Amino acid sequence: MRPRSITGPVILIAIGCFFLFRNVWPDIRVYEFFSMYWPFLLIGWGVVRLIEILVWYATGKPLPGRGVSGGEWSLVVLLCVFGTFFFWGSKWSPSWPSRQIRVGGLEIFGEPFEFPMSAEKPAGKTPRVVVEMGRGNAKIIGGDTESVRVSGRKTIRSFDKRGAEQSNVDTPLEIVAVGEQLIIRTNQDKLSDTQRASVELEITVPKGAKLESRGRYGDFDIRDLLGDVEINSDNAGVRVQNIGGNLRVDLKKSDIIRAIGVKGAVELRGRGHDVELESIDGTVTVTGGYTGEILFRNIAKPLRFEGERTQFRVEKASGFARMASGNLTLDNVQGPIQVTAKSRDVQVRSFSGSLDMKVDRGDVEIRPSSLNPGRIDAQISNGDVDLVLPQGAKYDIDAVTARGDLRNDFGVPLRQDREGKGGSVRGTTGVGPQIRVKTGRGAVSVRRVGSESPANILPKTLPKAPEVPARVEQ
Amino acid sequence: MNGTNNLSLMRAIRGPVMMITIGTLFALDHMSAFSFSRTWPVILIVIGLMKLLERAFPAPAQS
Repeated sequence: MRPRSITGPVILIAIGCFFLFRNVWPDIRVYEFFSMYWPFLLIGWGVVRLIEILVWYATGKPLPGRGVSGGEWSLVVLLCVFGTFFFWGSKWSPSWPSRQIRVGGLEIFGEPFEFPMSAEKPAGKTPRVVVEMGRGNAKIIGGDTESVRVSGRKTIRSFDKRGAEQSNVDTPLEIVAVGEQLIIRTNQDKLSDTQRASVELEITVPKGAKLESRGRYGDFDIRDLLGDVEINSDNAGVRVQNIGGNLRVDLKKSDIIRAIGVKGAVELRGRGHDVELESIDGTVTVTGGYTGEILFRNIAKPLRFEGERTQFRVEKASGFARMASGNLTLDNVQGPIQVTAKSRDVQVRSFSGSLDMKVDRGDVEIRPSSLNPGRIDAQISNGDVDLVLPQGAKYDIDAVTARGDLRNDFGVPLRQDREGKGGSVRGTTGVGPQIRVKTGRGAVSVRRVGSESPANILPKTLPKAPEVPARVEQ
Repeated sequence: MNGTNNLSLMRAIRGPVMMITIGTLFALDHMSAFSFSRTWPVILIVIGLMKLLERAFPAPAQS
């Protein structure tokens, strides 16, 4: 009998591992990983076949006429097509994690040549600084100086050194004073299409400066400024820390926007992947499409998030609001709270003030804190509702499902009625605000804090909200 | 007999060797400055080398 190859089963195992990995660690970007490293699959496959054939040969078994069958070749072609597709796809997409690969991928022609850059210009205490750069990364730091200082390096891809030197001369680093503005320019747009220059800048500006940066492709890292900061880019990662003024970020694409410690208002618009805002003293407005993890923590003024399918608004977030993988969690936030979601599980925990919620599809958990109770109104088209009230809470409760199970763990003051396929839990636990909860299809349960199911444990990575008492084992 | 066997070995490893070559070229394309549009002649060279090696063993009809 002709020996059978092991590649079939091995491929099956590999595909299984791929999806298992993706399901178990969804945060690791397997698709990007695949798009970069798929050629090694081809190499590995070839090596396995080669070893097989050599082993068969050595043990004297009959050899197949062709080392790789026609079916396998078509699989190889398919792999090449998909791999290339994913590779180009991920290269242009904002979610690509590594900066090195991102820049390297586009500059496949020629050898890299590096040139140092530096410039300095007196600027006064509170200048208005504009950074105009093409491809590249910039680190901008406020310091105790009265001048703008730029240093860094430029990388030019060219087939020969002379071409690179010419390109370097063509793209001078300039600091130009135009009216009140001080413009830092890297002039990469002066190069022809066949050459690419990317810069790595470190810019020190006076602490009191106002900053405006325009880039095409690359990261901004900005810290310790007292003035306003504005960032515009086609594709950027933005990291901002310790800003005294307002922060405005307008990006066509981004892999991450992170701001920690902003005294003024924060406004983000555009599209991107992850967003992380922490310790913001002003209002926060986020508009656009963000596909990754979104985290707001310690926001002192009203926070408004306007996504494409999910919107929410809170008056203040002492705790956090986190949105990731089909889930929205608001924990220790202050109302009035508004949540509108098309398809998302929503948990609102330890909140005070009123809550208005509208969810098309998704399970909902509502868990007010005992402080400052407010009116609660939740309309769910399709999903379970879990209402967990603190001990001794005084509410006028009306929880209805048109079709689904009912559960009343609260006890006597509430009455449970079946009506057709659905039913209601109604009653008053004391003079207090109204709770109106309604689901079109799904289970409704009303419970007291303490009678919780094990499924409601907070995620490990997030801080425990102070108001939620420890779970009581029953 | 041994010659035939060697020949069939050469034929059998042709496929896997091609696969490894293409994989390597794509890997180079993704990870270094050598783009596929510049390195594709390597495939021709490898095919040529394989053919030459096959010729080193006598074909069964001639032996």
